[in-house]
Amino acid sequence: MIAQGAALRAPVARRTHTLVVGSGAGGAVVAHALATAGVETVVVEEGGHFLGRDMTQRDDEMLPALYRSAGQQLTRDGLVNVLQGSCYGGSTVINAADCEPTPAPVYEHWRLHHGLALDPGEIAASQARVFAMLGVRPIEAEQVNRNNALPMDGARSLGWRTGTFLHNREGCIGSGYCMIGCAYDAKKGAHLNYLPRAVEAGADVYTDVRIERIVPRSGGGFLASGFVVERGPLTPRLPFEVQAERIVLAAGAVHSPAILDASGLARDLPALGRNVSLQPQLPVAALFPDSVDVVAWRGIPQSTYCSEFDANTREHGLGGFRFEPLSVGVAQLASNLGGFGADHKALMAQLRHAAMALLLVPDAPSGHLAWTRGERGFTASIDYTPTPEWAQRLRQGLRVVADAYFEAGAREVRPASDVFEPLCGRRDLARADSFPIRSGVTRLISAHVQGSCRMGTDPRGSVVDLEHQVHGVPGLYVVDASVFPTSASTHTMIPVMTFADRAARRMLARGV
Amino acid sequence: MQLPEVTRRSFLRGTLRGAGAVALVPMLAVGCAPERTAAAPRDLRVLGVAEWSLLDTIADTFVPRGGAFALGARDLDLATRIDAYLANERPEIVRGVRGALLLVEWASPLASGRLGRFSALDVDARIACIDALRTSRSATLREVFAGLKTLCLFLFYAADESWTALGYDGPLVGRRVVSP
Repeated sequence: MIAQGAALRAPVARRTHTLVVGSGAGGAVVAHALATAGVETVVVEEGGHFLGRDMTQRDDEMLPALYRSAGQQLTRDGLVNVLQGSCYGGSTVINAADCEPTPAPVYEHWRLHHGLALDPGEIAASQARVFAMLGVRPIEAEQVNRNNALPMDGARSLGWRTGTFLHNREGCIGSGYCMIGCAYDAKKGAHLNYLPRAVEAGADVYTDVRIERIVPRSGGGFLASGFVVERGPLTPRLPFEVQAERIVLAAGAVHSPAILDASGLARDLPALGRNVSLQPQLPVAALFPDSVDVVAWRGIPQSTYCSEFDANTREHGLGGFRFEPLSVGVAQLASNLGGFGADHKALMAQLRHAAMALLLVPDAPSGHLAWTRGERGFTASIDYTPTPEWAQRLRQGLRVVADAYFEAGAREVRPASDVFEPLCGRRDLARADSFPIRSGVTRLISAHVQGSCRMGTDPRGSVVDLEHQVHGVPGLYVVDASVFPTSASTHTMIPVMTFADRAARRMLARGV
Repeated sequence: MQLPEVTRRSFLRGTLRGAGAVALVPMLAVGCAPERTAAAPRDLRVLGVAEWSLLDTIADTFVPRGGAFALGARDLDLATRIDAYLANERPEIVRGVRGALLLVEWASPLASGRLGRFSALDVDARIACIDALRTSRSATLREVFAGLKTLCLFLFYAADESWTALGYDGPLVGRRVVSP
């Protein structure tokens, strides 16, 4: 059963064995595994229920419908726009469909420095099941659009290593709107596989429901309480309560810890809301001559990457930087391009000749979260300051991206900044070393917020144990990107789903 | 689309509380009479007429008529579209936008070395005022610039009417209403 909030007319009070809070990459996988094993399972999702038929391919309609805070969730100083899905299927509905496992050196780093003695065979089996469910496959050469091909041509010409992503699309027509939901259901997010199959197996799903608090019950289990909310403003409509033997928080790295905090559990979990990685990315646009029609808005938005500058090590985990072409909607692009007035219009008039990419720079987990709770739910304060070392890598990366674009024939490269003058040729590359990184000047985005409920063996430095169970609270689990000790991958869907598959099977294996 | 939350906070902290400008809000509502080139619609949902008129002038500075293509903010009645957008926003965001309007009206001329109100300046001076926000050493002023820019540019380029000039052929699916 899938119940959308608008259809609910009276307060809801349910009992179930397992309550899963959040229907994204973590929650969907857990719900599917438990439900198919015969465990009575309820899933709640604060966002709305949307399928391909609902996707209008318009930024102004789909960003508010599918993204947390309509895609405008920012760090406290405004430097980083933290993107998260908030809908049935979570970020798997609005991501780039890139299927990138956690690199081996990252697992090694976690084992050596965070005590995560994970069984490689178990991880591989979980990942294989995830790949099979999503239908992961290579992106074919003919599916690579010009926006993705041009800078990779430049990179290869410079002798740099490039690659083409694996993805979870089937029957893609290349409309180009992956980031605001596939109107053709070709992108196989969790809303098209794990969740409907969980429902087939007996799980009940409620959308437009926000859980705000969890209280252990004296006789065992938990009482989770919240509201059926009005879609859009997220204001409360009806009380919603679930009694459950087990609760799995999968509300994402910003909101899973918020629920723990609001439930009074922060005092015994000093690491709650800390060790946050944003893995910020710098949007970079390149203008090509009028003879080059890029038409970036059509085709798979992101299909290629340059990994020449990856520096993944067991000492530091994910490191270096990489760049990946990505196109976004016209309205989003417009607000990311620097300048205003006539100059900005002149830039927009050259849209057909503009290529776009993201420079992705993995970070050390240095951010922390705090929350306020109001009528419309939790508002997060995301404190995050890039380190000087990170800033140095970003500037080095900007030089590299620009070099690749110039090699490919670009006449101008524009990182997302309102004050930085465009790079107009290789003679300007040195200016990348002085690229300013500060709020109101630079526009960074994060699509991979991680940490905040770090996994580990020591309750003083972590929130969940290796079974995903909250330290000191049997029966309460966290299964989403918040558990990663450091950044897991350049794209987090597969790492989250792999961990979720492992977590669910361990729950089942222990008979709980 | 929402105004960035940091901008809201900065508006509240930097423009409303910090500058003691709360007291100026009534002045904006009743005493500010920006130079107007269009009549305010009768059915404004959030903004007062003076606020709408000032926003119309700001939007015209961010997206003027002419240049690379003819269409400008006033052709789309962008200020009214922003007003409609704000009707669905949280109250603190609306207060933040009001604070930002105040700041642009009174503080941006000072930031650009001018006296007087933004709305009373000629076009070139208005551009200089907005540019002064962009390059300000004050994070608050820069965030006001970024917030208003996001509002104006996002909603302008989300409109179908702007797409032809860009060569963008728009969505492939027919226009649909997002189901409840």
